[in-house]
Amino acid sequence: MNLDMLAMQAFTGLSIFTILMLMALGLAIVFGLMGVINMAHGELMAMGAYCSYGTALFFERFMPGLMGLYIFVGIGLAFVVTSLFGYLLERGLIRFLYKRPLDTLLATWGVSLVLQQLYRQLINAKEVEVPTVSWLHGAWQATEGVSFPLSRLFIIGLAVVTATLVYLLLFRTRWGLRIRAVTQNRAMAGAAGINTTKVDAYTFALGCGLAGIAGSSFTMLASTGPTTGQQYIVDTFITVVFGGVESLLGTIFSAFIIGQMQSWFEYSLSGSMARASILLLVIVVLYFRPNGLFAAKVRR
Amino acid sequence: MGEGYYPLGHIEFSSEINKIKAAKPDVILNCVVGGSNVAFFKQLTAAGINGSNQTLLSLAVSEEEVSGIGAENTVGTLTCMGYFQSLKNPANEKFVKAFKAKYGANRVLGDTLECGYISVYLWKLAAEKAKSFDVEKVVAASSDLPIDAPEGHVHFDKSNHHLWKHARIGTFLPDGQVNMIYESPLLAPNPFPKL
Repeated sequence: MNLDMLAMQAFTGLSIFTILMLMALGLAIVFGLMGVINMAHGELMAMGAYCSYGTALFFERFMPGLMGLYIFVGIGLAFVVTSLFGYLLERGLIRFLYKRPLDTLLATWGVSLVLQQLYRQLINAKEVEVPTVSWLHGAWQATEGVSFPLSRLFIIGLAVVTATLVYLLLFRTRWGLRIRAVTQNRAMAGAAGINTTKVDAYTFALGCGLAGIAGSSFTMLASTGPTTGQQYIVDTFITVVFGGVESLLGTIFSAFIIGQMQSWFEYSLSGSMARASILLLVIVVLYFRPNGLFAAKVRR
Repeated sequence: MGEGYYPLGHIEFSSEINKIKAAKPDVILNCVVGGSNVAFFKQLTAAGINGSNQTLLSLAVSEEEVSGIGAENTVGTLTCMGYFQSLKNPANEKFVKAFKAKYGANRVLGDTLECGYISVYLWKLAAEKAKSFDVEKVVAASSDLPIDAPEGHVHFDKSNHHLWKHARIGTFLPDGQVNMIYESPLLAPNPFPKL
């Protein structure tokens, strides 16, 4: 392995890290902070991807001159649509199940099946084509032998911005303070005058909206179809669980570790063996640290 | 030069693409199936590998898949299939016209769809020849049975009842259709190949 390859593999690891982080941030909030096992997280990402698709079609037809900007509108729309859907889902279904976390697994799994079938019926049973904007085509040629795909650079930037915003929201605003208070001790937070049901709904909507952002930006890398969500959901859960539920920092850290492992294992082994090795390592770590790498102490 | 195997549904190919870049192969033989193809082609194109600078032959990418991958990501690459929408023969022209009249002008046809279509007609022919719906009799009647399919004149094998078909290789065009560059004679079906 020469220096060029080293640089490109390091970049690959970084890229997988940011992809996993984007996928897992929303679930870390929904599953980690709220304890809802949201099996429909992948389908929410697919919903975000379809928002990108719809925006692309709209721009193609009505303002082809601004096609280069559609990606931002697509991401924004994805956030709005999925968080709105998340809000309705919380109000209509999830809030009745807070006392029964295992049942949220079944209920949201049902939601994911319904959503998949809706995509099939209403949009297309096949994958749809979401065009990549022209300014993200190709790669940045750093040196002669080293090049970094622009779409991945964009996702790295997006992930950093999103993670920073989530951090600021949770740790630097009144609203974030309320979310953390409700997570740590629901009864006491309620006694202190926090409207816990409202906080729950908004938190869930935020988590879903983040899934939308992730799904929308991943249209540049992967397919957009009814089963798209299934491609993401396993990795997302592994990242959150491995990092330690209830810890956002843990999620980011575990995304980094898994991303690097995937990059280097896939380089030195075959793809399937790399996958198996990563899962094996995750199992071993979880055996010795059942609460994940970063187990936060939470009073229930 | 090298082989890489990935789990079904894999969507992260950048390590493999880095390996491909390092190996500079004469040809990439792409056996990826389904949604993973979208990821593979998009990431190849983003990494600067495309039909204009790399020979790539896909075994499971038809015109239908291209509608999900995006024609700009597949243009210039090769595909191997038994049927292309662009085949020029009267049966196919009629088939494409009828399909588009029913399902819309934007829909494309691919090998899988054509196979599903002729399967029903093959069964009809065999059932008519057997003058029965009995499975045993229909199977017996299907030996050597020919059909004028959109993919050309094909027929059942005498013993194993798979189809004798043409293998065709073509290049993807910017509109997602295929320009056929090679057509084999009818090939004997061999469902149980020996190493």
